[in-house]
Amino acid sequence: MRQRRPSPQTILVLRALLVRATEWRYGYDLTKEIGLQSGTLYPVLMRLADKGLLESAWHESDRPGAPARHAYRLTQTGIAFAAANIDAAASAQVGRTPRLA
Amino acid sequence: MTHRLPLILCNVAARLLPASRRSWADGMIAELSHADDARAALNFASGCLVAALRERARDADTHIMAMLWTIAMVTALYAVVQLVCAVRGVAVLFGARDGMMDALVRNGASPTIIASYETARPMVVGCFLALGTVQIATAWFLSRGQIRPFAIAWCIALLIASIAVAIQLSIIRNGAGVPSEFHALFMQAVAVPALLVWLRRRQPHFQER
Repeated sequence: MRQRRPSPQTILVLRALLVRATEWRYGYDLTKEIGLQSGTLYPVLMRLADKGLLESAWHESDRPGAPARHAYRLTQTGIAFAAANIDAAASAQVGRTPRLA
Repeated sequence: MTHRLPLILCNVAARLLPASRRSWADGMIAELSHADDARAALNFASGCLVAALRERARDADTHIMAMLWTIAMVTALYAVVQLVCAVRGVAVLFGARDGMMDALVRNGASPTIIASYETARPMVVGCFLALGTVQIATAWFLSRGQIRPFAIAWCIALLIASIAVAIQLSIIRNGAGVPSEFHALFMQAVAVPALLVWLRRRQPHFQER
């Protein structure tokens, strides 16, 4: 079965996660970093987690009294998937750019 | 820093998210404490609500329940019609005008047929009453996803409807111009099982609750 190409929003999320692939990242910080609304970010993260491309964990907050935070990072499969699809998306973008004569 | 309205929105989002997404809901709520200001928190929480609605709309269990509820509502509507007929029938038994009798007279029914109808009338009214009640139960079980009790109630309803049609056919075989339960019986016998089979095919992991 042919795999669907990730959406531009998914590519944005994958790119942000891949930049510091070993670090755990948080939902609110990702919305600020990528510029995506949480309404778009979370479904993308859930989809990635469902496919085994993203792992999550609970981390103590650095703010006193604040609840533990849900943290995310790409799995090894996720890193390979992100790298392949970001490259593919970049190639497609170049292919679509009109050439000057 | 936790903000009241954003917290309410995030809690609504947590309730909307399917149970399998519980950790995501808790994660969203926890992030509120890290929002830069009230406006950012509200923006974030509104987005979480949108995300929860999207997830709910994609959830297969929600689709199944929506379909079961649709069938249940139609069944309940049909039950209400039966119960209204039963109430009118009871009124007729106590001397109110009988539309069915009028139809028989209008169609030139013989005195024998009219006498048979009058004899059978209490039984027919009882059938309507029983049918409406059983169909309410049918709709209830369906709305709760209890397929086995639903199937039993549906079989009982079908039996009662068949008795009503059998009584009618025993009185008048050619019921042109006379209201008949036959089409309603046919609809019930075919439409509900057909919808459930379709639902099962569409949702292969459909399980009884």
